[in-house]
Amino acid sequence: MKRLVLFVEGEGEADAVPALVRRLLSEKGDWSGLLLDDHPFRVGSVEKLVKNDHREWNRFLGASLKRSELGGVLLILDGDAERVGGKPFCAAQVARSLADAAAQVGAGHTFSVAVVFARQEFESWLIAGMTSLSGRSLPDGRRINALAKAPDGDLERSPRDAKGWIGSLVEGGYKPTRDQAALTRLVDLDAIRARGLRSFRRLESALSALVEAIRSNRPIASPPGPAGSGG
Amino acid sequence: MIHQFRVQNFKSIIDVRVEMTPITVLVGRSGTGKTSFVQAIRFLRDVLGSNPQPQPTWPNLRPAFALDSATSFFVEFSVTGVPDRFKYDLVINKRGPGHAPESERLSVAERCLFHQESTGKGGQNRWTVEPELLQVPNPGPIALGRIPSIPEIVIAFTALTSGIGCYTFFDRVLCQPRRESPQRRGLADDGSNYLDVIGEITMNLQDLISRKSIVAALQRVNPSISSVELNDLQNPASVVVGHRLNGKTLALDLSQESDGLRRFYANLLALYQMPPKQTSIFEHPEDGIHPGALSMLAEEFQAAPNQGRGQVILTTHSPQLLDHFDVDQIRVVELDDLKTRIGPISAEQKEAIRDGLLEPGELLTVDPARIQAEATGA
Repeated sequence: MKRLVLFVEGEGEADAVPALVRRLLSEKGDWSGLLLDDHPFRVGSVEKLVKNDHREWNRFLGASLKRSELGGVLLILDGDAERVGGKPFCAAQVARSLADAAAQVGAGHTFSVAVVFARQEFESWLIAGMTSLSGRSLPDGRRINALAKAPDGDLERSPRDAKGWIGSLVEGGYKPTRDQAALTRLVDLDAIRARGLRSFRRLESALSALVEAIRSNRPIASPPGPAGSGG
Repeated sequence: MIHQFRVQNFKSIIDVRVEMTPITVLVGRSGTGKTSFVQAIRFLRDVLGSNPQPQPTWPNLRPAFALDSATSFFVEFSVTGVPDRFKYDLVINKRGPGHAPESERLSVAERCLFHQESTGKGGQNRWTVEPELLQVPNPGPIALGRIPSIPEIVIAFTALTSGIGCYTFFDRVLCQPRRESPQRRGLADDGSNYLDVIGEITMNLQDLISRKSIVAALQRVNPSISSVELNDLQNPASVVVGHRLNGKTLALDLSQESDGLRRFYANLLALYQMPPKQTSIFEHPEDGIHPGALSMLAEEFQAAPNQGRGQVILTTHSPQLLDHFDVDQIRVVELDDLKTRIGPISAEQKEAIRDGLLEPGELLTVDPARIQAEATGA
């Protein structure tokens, strides 16, 4: 059985991302040969990972390689940085650079890696599914506004303050470390899909490719460069 | 030094055995049982020493899962100058430490110095191994501490009572002195008898290095500090901190110094007190101290065992402090089904740290510390 390890941004995502990935994998109903690791790495922001020629990224990948039967690593970060590495942030470019850098420690050869940026951020996905959350209660009893619904327009551009927007609709406000995982467990994934967010489609396709690569023992580094292996 | 400490049926700790080193650092999320483990050591010390310090009442120390079970302690420890290790076992009846223990045994190497156990009849105990005395005291109350004429027993008693300090320093530490009775030795757990301790350090002219080391350490936190002395050696009422300014000295009362400096100083007093403790335990020594000063504090902790100032055990939530310790010095505390487990770090995390892929402090941030699967503290 091969292990899929998650790299997330912070403490809120450390619960929310495994919950989301577990739901996505369970929808497909096929866990054979795959173990979702219970202990995500909290790697911080994308700026931290790319500094000094991707030093932290490769260091943490090296640490993950110490876990037994590592099959692949899925990195999910918020894609709301303005500038990364001194340049305007382009999710596709930075994702490719991270995948390429991971090759230095064996990604695409001995294990797989996939990089996904949530646009603008993880909460944007929750906003996309907000209509399915309206009127529901969190495990601690706080309620979500019964009239809550996802705004019109491109959710990968606005609202820019996704956390604040959610906070205005949740009783007692929204704190990622307290509420992100709970909302992730409640939200209807089809409602998110219906809004056509490109980054959510990217997550699903990257996860599928990663799982297939792990099962078939044909490692990938995703997204590929112009002539790299696919994902 | 304590080499091994096992406790059963104490709060969330059903059965935990911890192997210790000259420096041992306990890490784990809040509520996992770090404080309960420290409390267990403190409780044993205080019960043996008949220490009147306020403690949670006995019912609050009982485990939720094993109400009818006895609470037991096992300590394996060594004392400089005694070639063999001591082993002390105490099983406290569920009714509490005020009643005859179910069992109590002290041995050094393979030689049992005494052993008493319950007869099972009406709280009566009997000696299964009598201490080698012509007039053997009655069994029943805890024996360690009641046998003053056998040196090894006295040494063991001292090591497990006045030889252990359990320190938690709160804000306003070193602001309000309390004078202790002459029988009490060493820095109180809250640092409140600091005047006595500073006096003993000051009057020990055989060891001026300690005084200088303390001032040197404080100067690294605040470079203007030139001295730290009692206001009056005969009847001290306060501590005066000298600050050098433009060739002159400004004298400030210690209570006027910052909370961070006083907490830092309190930790130093615990480490440099005379006589030194066998084992000093510090709970969250990083509280209130600037992150930049934590490397200096870590250096003091690391130096203590090698400089004859005893074993150091600490609990911490600080990545910056943890970065200064070796992976083999770290023990992970986890809560599993409401039961505390304590053990060494997982093999893969140890390897990642040794290979420079993770910093020790990242066991609190990036990749939270996990117990090694095969070697838990149970």
